[in-house]
Amino acid sequence: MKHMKWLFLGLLLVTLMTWGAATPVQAQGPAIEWELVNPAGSFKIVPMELAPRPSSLEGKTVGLRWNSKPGGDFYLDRVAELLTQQVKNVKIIKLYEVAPETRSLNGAELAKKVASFKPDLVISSQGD
Amino acid sequence: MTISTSEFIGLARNSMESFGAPDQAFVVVPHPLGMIPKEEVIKKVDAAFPEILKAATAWKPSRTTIPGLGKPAYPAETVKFTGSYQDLLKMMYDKRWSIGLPVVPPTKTAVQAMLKGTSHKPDEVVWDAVPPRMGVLTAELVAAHGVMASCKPEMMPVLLATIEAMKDPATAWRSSTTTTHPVAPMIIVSGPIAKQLGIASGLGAMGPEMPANLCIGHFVNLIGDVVGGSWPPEGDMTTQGWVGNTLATVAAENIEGNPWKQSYAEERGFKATDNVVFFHGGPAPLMENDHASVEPQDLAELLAYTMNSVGSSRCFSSGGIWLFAPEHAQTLASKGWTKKDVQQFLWKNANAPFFAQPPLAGGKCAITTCCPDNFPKDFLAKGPITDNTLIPAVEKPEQIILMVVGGAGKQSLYFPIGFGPSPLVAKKIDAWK
Repeated sequence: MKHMKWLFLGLLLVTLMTWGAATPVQAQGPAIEWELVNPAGSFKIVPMELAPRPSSLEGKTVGLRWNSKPGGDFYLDRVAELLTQQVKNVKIIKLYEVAPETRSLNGAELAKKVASFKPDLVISSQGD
Repeated sequence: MTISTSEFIGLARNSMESFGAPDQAFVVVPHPLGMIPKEEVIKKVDAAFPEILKAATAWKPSRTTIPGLGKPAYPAETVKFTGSYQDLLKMMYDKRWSIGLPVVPPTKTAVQAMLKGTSHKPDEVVWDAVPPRMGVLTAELVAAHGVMASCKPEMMPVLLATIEAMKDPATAWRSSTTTTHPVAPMIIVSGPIAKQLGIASGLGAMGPEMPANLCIGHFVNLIGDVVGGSWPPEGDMTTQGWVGNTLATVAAENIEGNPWKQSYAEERGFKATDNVVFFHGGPAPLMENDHASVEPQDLAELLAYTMNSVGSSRCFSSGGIWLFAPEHAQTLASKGWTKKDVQQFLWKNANAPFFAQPPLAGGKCAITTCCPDNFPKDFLAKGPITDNTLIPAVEKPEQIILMVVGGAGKQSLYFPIGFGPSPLVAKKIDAWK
């Protein structure tokens, strides 16, 4: 009976310790009803319509735009080689050579400059 | 179509959407393309080329509209929430309405009270599209973020002028907030308003326990991340980030400690009574610690040497900002050196040999390289560029900006200009009262 008492006390202690560990201590305040202004607000994007894809690149003009990060030019140079080898009469414009300013322009200014070369498709490299 | 490395595809998609394209033809290639041999780059192209051809001719957009567009900018949506303050903070972080620091809840009442700090109407759009999310920022939302950052209503004109500086095209906010470069904002306030509002300029000005400075710093990064959506990884690719991305650096010019008695604002043509905000974006500063120099030239030589320690920003860079401790400024001015003398000396002596500059990539000039093609013509006319040619850290002497900030001590800080111009973008505060 004496042993049973110690067993009971031990189990009680373990239960209390386990309960304490399973319930994270948080400095929770009282529940309050808040009415907040959404601080993110709305956003404004002017949707653009993408040009239709050419169904084939044969006889088409492909502009290549490099973002001026090392390695991206090697990538596009190789794309140009493969396109020339594999696609009949494709015309390649390396914008980073004929219009070096396209390396650092962005947004509407870049789009305007690239469009002045009248490409059917533009391939751009992004990333470091 | 866009070829993106795997680490940048989130940013690439996000950027395309923010420019108005609901979807775009992407081909994802394993990161990286830089700092690997050319042969490895070519292997990546050869592996991806069939997909490039397919994307070029057969790609179809997965969607043609952008969800969430068309909601009115004013009045801002109000949201009811029941829970403890801790629950509120968690909800706000989960919704990307905070950057993880505790905020003062932007209740309607608190926002209304904050709006009393300006005569501008709450529906005034003060930034029509904060990139990259293109969030529409009204005066009402400025007030909401002012509340969240613990600012007082009388700070509103400074907050609004800071926004005007952030949106200035010269600040290049989109690129500075999305880049891998550790760009963080710095705001310098000049004029009597600094004292009136308690914007610190002396000892520990840019550190803790400076509530007015801290509120502006928190406010700026809340706007960038909550309204602008500059959130890693798809809206912010900063490689490491640093505390300046969390709380922007803020100080006022210390006019009393300035031995030249001419503030940067006056140098820029403002009157001593004008209240002006200057905005800068750049990496963490470098520190010059000189307790010994007595002659201006001895100190200036060390300062010039420090300017050479700024990585890729030491090749004809667009400038930097020295925040001189008053004691350093006193030493520099002690033998009659003017600010212009100091600028000239630093410009002449801050240079490093060409071989110590970031290398060209495969012999080509790229955005992060020190490229002779871009050197000024008069510099190239001096002779061929060799490994030992000394390359100026800063392109022009006047691009080295000198200000006095801080209190007792012999430490000065150099903030290289990462993005944005020198002279700094400046906006008058009083227009926003």
